[in-house]
Amino acid sequence: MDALGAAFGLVLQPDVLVAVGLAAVFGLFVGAIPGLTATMAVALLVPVTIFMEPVPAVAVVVTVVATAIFAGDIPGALLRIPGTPASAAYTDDAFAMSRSGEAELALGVSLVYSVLGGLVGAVVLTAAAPLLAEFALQFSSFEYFWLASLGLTCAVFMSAQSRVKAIGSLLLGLLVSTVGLDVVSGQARFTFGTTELLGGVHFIPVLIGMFAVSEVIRHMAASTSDLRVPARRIGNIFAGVAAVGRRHWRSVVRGNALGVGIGILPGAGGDIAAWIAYAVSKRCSRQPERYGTGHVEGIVESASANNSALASAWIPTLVFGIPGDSTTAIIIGVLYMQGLNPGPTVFLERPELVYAVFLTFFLANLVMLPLGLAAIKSATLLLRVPRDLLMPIILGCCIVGAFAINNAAFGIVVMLVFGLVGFLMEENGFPLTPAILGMVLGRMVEEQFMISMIKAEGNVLAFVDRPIAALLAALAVTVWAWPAVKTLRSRVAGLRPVG
Amino acid sequence: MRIYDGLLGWLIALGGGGVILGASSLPTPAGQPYGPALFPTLLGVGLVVCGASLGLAGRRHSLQRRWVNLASWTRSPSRQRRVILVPVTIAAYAALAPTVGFLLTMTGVLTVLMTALGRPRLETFVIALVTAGTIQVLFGGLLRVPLPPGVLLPGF
Amino acid sequence: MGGMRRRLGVMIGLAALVAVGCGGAGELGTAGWPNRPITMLVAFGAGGGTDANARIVSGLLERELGQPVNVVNRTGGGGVVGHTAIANAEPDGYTLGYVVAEVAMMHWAGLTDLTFEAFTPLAMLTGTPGAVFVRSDAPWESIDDVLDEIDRGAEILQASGSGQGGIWHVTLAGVLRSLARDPGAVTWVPHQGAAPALADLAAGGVDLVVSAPAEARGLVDAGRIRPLVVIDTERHRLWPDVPTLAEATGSDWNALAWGGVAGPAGLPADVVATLQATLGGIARSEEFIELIERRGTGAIYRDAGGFREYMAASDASFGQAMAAVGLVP
Repeated sequence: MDALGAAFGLVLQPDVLVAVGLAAVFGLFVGAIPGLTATMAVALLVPVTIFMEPVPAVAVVVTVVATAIFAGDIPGALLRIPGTPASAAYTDDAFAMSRSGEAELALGVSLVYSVLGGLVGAVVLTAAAPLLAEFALQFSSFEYFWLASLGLTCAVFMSAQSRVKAIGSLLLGLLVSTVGLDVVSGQARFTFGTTELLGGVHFIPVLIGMFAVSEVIRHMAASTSDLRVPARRIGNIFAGVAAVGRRHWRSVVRGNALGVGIGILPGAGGDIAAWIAYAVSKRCSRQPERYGTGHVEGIVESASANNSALASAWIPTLVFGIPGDSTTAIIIGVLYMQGLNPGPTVFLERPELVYAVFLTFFLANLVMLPLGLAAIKSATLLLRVPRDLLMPIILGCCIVGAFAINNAAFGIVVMLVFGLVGFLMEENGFPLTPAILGMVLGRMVEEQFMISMIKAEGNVLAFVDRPIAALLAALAVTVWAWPAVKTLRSRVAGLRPVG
Repeated sequence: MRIYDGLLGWLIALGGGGVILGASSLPTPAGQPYGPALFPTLLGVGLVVCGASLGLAGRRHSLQRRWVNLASWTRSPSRQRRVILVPVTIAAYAALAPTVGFLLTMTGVLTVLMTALGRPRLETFVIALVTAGTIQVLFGGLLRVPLPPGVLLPGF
Repeated sequence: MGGMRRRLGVMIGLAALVAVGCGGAGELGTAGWPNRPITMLVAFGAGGGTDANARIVSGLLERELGQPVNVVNRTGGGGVVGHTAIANAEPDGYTLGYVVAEVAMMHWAGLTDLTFEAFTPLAMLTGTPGAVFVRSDAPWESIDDVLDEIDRGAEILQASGSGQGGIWHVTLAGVLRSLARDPGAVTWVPHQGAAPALADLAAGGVDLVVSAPAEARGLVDAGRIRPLVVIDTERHRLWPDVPTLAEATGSDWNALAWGGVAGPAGLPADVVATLQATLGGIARSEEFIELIERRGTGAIYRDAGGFREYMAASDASFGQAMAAVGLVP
């Protein structure tokens, strides 16, 4: 308890509070711009944090990540351009809500459940970090392979349209992820002899191209501004949010549990948590047919999941020094430079610092509530800007975002190509989100599959030899087989009266 | 531009075949039993299956008689021009920005697009310049994105 | 109408302001270098060890030179993309790069024609040795036990730590070759980096991991894995009880994952002189040494000449080790 008191003393300092406030504004800004990622925001802060005290340094990083992930929802809801891959899962729903005048409710739900998810993650982190870290150490390549495969099945649940077309879109995304140096052999693949493609196709320019550029093209093709979004004020945002929470409390609980569970696994993280949560939500919902058409349930569950995953990604980071995602990888560097070596010893030697780190999570999420609200209010003003001006400006930001991923014009070319591809796909009824999912998960699926094959020396039974792997495999196979079983059953039922 | 599913499916299947062919030329490295060709080959097979089933289903309920259904924008010359302007301006930016610089190129791109959408020319130029300048300051300055300085700002 | 015109006036005024604000331009040329911001290219992603080292150096360089030094990540192709960008940059002193050991490896693998000779070395600043780790409950107490297991050949051991042909794969091959063992006797399980490989080791997925001490210390402190040997000329600061490879086996083979600042070939002499002096000062400063060593990396300084010699020796050594495992096509 002395340690906890000392931790409060460390966190409730004016410099920490000011740093957290500034970091929240910075994170909201970066996250709201498609193409600028939370990872990039944190990397930019590294040289600054070197010269700070440990607690404000960590607090700044925690705040920036949390706010940037939430802010990714803003352009997704208002313009159908997800700011981060984590928000791509429910962009269609959020945008559909905006079009029917519920932009503030969609974003309010996303903000409040992001904050709630962040707080739940922080509680779990504080209460059970060492215990849960054990769980993370049970995952080898076999378990990751099955987890990633489960993630891929989300593609089929994502789309309201043709299932075959959704799978086609997913395969395209997976295929694009194979371009570049093969992770296993280190050989160049589908690069056509160019140095640029050696680095692979980054999914951020693809994301911007498919969603933003194709949206701009659609606007250009439209005769009038028929995509105008009405900006209806709904008054008290939180009243609406509370009603949603009462109706969908199961989604809140499930989303948080999924987020925490998936976030702990190094190499999984918030993006995958959001997709799986969306698919699970649709699977369990009484109204699965409304998903993708502006239904709030999926937003509640995914937004809870991606923010609760952020805090739990710190569990393996703090306990074993194994980064949970790309931002915690940077954080480990910051911690070492601050003399806070991750590992079990830090819990024994500097408990007050560990508690202070935990407290910054609570602080970051609490600060996000009012600042996020302000961001929503000012962002909805965007809807009043004439689209004929807004669309070119968005294209300008997209060009810069695509360039900034690797600071090369090649990113702009990738964005353009996938803008056209995305436009044609939508015209022909191919959903875009499975392609993004394929790109996000492609490397992981292939890598874990190949690593497992090498380890198993081709013995397929090794894939189900370990208990957790067997459990995940059973789950995946059930999910895959379910639609077939259902079709079969309905056919049999349909045949019976005749036969 | 909507392509008849019966045609599109077979095109996808053909593409899948191309992927399998491309993957087959990838070498298997020394000391590893499985090479970089395995996963793309599986994806290629998936595309063939997916394309074929789309092609077959497309033929079964062929409500659409034509191979390609052109969308309404292709019949209006002005809208055609606007759609083509998007890839053209992006490509022009990628080609020109490294030498001309971010500020000028971006102002040009924005002016062209906004004018094409029917906004008055002077208004668009001013808005374009302010937008490009704001992006230069926010992204180039605050976020340290190395935007090409070009002829106008050699020292920025 | 009047409102419209007034708004236009405000807009034009704003535009002029922005234009003036951006226009604080300096002159071109190397006289008076540096009079504008410098770019520091890094061939690996934000968050990795290379990136962190480069950001520390850049922060200090910025203070010394009085101009911003921006770290720019150009990732991909196992370092090929970024290093090519450094070598192809304008040799005017405004684009430098953090060049690392992969330069001495990727041309052997046939990924690029680029070698260390495409750079103007300025200062070697960091280096970390590899160490061999096993799970704490593994039956092997020393590297000798592992070698015996390999000789017995009852079960083929599986090792990881980097991708196929990555630095720790080549290091293990070099060690085995120097001990007259077949480098192919251990299966290399490729992982994207040391962190996932170490997690896989702890989860029981592989038998051995070769990685830098800094990345493994969390798991070592937690008692999950043990270091058996450090592949270096002296014992590691973190674990003074763990023997070096030479002490344990008699083989004096060693390799560092080194890194340092370099520019494209043909940097002007005055720029090189200024940078050498500045980087030398930074490398010897207590602040730099402390920041680097706290991360668990070694602060190892060599001047420009020493850096060039070191790169040449490292290139030859990695080339031999890679040929031994069949990584040279």
